Amino acid sequence: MSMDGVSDVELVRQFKSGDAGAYDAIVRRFQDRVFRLACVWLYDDQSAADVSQEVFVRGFKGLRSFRFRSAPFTWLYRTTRNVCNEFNRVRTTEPLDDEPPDPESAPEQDVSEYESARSVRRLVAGLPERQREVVVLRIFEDMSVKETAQSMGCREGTVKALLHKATEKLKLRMQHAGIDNE
Amino acid sequence: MSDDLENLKRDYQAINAPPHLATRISASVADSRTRSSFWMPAAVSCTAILALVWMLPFTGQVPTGEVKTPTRPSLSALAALKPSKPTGAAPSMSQLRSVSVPSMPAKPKPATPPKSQTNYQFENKPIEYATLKEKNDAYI
Repeated sequence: MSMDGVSDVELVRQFKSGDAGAYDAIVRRFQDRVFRLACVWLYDDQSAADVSQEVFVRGFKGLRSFRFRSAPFTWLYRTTRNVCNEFNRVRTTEPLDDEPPDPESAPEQDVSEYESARSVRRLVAGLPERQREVVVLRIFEDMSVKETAQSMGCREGTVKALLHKATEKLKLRMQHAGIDNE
Repeated sequence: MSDDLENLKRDYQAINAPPHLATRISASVADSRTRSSFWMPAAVSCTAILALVWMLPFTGQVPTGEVKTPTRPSLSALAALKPSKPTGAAPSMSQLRSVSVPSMPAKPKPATPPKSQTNYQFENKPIEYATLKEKNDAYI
């Protein structure tokens, strides 16, 4: 049975009621978004895939007690952030070979680097953590200010202020990187 | 939103999960489901055994495998079976006082030896010295 037309909330409701296929549909629907979030916080694809897997394993247990106080993606976003933080804590003790480059040195790098999806991560990585969160949720994920505030656990005014600062910094960085000269 | 931010958003949304990720997730979810349900049969059987053991005293049945041990009499039952000693009336104090006891034989007096056999007459007699010099010599 196709679940493409079913809303996120209805999908989770079906999963909670014991529908075996509902969780597969949840994974298919959210795997790209969870993977992108993990890419922004972890910098390399392999780690992002590992984190996505862990998020959905936790989701299988956690969504059974989901109370629909927020959107299902908000729950997944918070779980992804937590798993990424745990992963980064482990990585600080065991550094990987392909560490991300220093964000401050990004403007000197080749402009073509920013044409790939990986360049997004490196560009966003130069922002402070809260500003990065706002950019990812509000700009990249197209969430409303209210949803962004709910996901970040702060007020809507804070989201707006953080977004203003973050976009200013991003524009500046992209100008330095030479994107505007393309 | 400016064009450069739109470009950045497009680049972000171009990131897709690897094709094998959904399979990996399904496998690990199935594995976690197996692991989480592994203890269930063991828990159910343990609960059943505990319930059975708890109910045994109420049913009054002894399991067939159990050897029936002879019951030991309690201490109070043993005490009841013990023969009691014959008890007589205790004698009163006046009876005890009136009981005549044969008198003890008189102590034998120490025999005094005759004076002629002893030096008794000399024992407490003060020593008399003839001269003072003799007395002084005796105390040196």
